[in-house]
Amino acid sequence: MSPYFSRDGFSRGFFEGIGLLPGMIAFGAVFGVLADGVGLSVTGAAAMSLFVFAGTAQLLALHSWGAPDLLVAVVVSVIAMNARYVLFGAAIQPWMRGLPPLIAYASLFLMVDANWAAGMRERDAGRHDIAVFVGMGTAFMIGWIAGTVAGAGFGPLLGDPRRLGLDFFLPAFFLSLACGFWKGRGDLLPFAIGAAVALVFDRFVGGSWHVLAGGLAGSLTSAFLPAKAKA
Amino acid sequence: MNVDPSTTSGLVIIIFAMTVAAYLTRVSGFFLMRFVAVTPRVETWLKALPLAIMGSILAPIAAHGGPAEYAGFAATIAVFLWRRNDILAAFAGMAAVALMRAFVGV
Repeated sequence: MSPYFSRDGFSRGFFEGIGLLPGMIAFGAVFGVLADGVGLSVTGAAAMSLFVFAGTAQLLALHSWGAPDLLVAVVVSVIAMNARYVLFGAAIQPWMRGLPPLIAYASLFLMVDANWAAGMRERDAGRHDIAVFVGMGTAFMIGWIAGTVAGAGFGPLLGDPRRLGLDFFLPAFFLSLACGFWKGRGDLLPFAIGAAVALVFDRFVGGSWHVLAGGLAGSLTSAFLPAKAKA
Repeated sequence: MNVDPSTTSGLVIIIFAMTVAAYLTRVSGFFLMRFVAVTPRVETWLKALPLAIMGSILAPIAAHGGPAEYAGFAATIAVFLWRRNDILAAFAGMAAVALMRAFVGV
């Protein structure tokens, strides 16, 4: 079945994204507060959120603010934190295969963790409405910019987002999606190998390379193991 | 190359460089898959990818976490198994973490 776009799918994704908005706004606000802290204007912070649209990468970039080789530092920050998206893009490609390239490449601009995972879930369920992915990404973009502006504008008034557990929203969302993906014992292998390799990389390398390393190790082990060993 | 982010032109250059880098990470895997034939082995690889990535994201969080995060994971799994709703389960996990931090102080 070839992929398509529907208004229904867009609103389904958009409203599902609205459910995740509190976490997104809080995260954006954290970035906004820190951006304000290094002297970025509200407009500058909002522009970065709009175009880069990558929370952890933007936070890491702020860490290098004031460094002499700032341009290199911010690019390395973005690549290190977003390296996992290379895998995300590879995994989502079969779902989007057949979409006009312009639409596919425009849609990918909105790819973040949660709507990628939602897209994988749709594919798993045999649904091919790419608008779900775009609708959810659009909701996130709105929340991310709203949070950035609020944080950069009223930063000092915001309390600690950890108090509300907002930092735990994305991990919890990933865990519930993993539960949904779980089909049987064969799924333990990629999950466990990925987890183990990620722990080693997290301990000794840093950045978000652990996601790339664990993701590759877990999935390749699964692909290259003899089928009978997986049953 | 020296760029001063406190000037408008410097900030534009910085944001532009970050935008290009971020967009390239989003599209490069997608682009490269055009040259990969989807054999059964590649299909198995792509199917295993989401769970491998989820394990990789969750393991360090669990390793760095304490009782609050463990309660959050437990609440997420419990509510997911109960209602089969991922957003609801994520909210339950978040609420468990917030409650643990507020009342147990961990």
